Amino acid sequence: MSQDDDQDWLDALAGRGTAASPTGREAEVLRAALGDARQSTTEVATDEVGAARRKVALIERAVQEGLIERAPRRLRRWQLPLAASILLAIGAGIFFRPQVTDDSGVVRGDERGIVRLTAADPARLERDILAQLRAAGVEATGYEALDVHGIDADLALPLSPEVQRILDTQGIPAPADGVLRIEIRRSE
Amino acid sequence: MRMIRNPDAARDLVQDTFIKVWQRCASFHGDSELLPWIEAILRHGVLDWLRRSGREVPFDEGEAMNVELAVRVVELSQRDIATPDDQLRRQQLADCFQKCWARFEAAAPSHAAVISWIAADGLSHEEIAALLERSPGATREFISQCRKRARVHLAEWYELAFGIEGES
Repeated sequence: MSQDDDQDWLDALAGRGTAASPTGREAEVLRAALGDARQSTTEVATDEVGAARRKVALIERAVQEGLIERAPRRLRRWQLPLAASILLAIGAGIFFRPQVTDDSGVVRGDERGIVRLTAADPARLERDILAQLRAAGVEATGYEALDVHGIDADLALPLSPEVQRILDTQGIPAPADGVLRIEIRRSE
Repeated sequence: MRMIRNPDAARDLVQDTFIKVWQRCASFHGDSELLPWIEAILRHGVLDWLRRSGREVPFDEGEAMNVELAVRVVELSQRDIATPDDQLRRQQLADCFQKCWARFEAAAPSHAAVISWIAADGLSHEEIAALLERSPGATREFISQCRKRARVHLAEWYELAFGIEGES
């Protein structure tokens, strides 16, 4: 096989000029067959899960290569309305929360699990809550010491709907262990 | 993907290509079309992968290149290019080509890949040299090897292709 033969073969295979030599014809028919084979190649089915995984891998690799910076996590399309709905629900809950007394407030976060309330008339709020709990069948004890009114109660778990309603009405979180301890101070 | 015969490796190669395009885009000055430039990067990756995978079977000319076979292909090539007119013969020819080409790809994947790229995109001698990262002389030798190997592996198909015309 001479270099000229190889060049004829290469040119014919590449579709340059008209093949006159046997070598060129050999390449020409090969070129046609390859073209037919390409056309008949079936497409690989798209694997959406795999494609998504590879996209993540590509982005991760681009980050590792220093080509892009990791973008701050963006909210997905459905996350924004969901977040807005939650905020709206919380806002509405706070805004429309029913109040038995018009002057009570709640302070939470005591590490001993004590719920701290404030009211213009602590004694009255103590009496109201005690009365409601007892009416719901809860054994609750009230006390007063140094101008602080308190209520201690052991709530049966799970909470009955009536007890849950009382706690909700007063904005008192349900104790996980059923031990309810409330302190009520005079509001400033 | 057909050349690689490994879907995951093929997809990894596409990813590598994207990364390299990204890394090298500053060096692309528009001297060529964008798509061929990207294709060249992908083809480099394919050839590297084929070399690394070690699938290439050494070509022993004395053993593999049957002289009679080579003469027969040359003789057949002097006939008019066959154009089978009935569907059955066309399908028979296409099936035979697929079978022979698959054998060729299995035995000499780099050579088969370069041949298919030449046919698809009309690569010139210089473009092939750049793709292979070889000297002009070494590229000529590679092309010669491509031709010899194709003849051996596609002999059955050549016989059928030219034989159709010969029989009619």
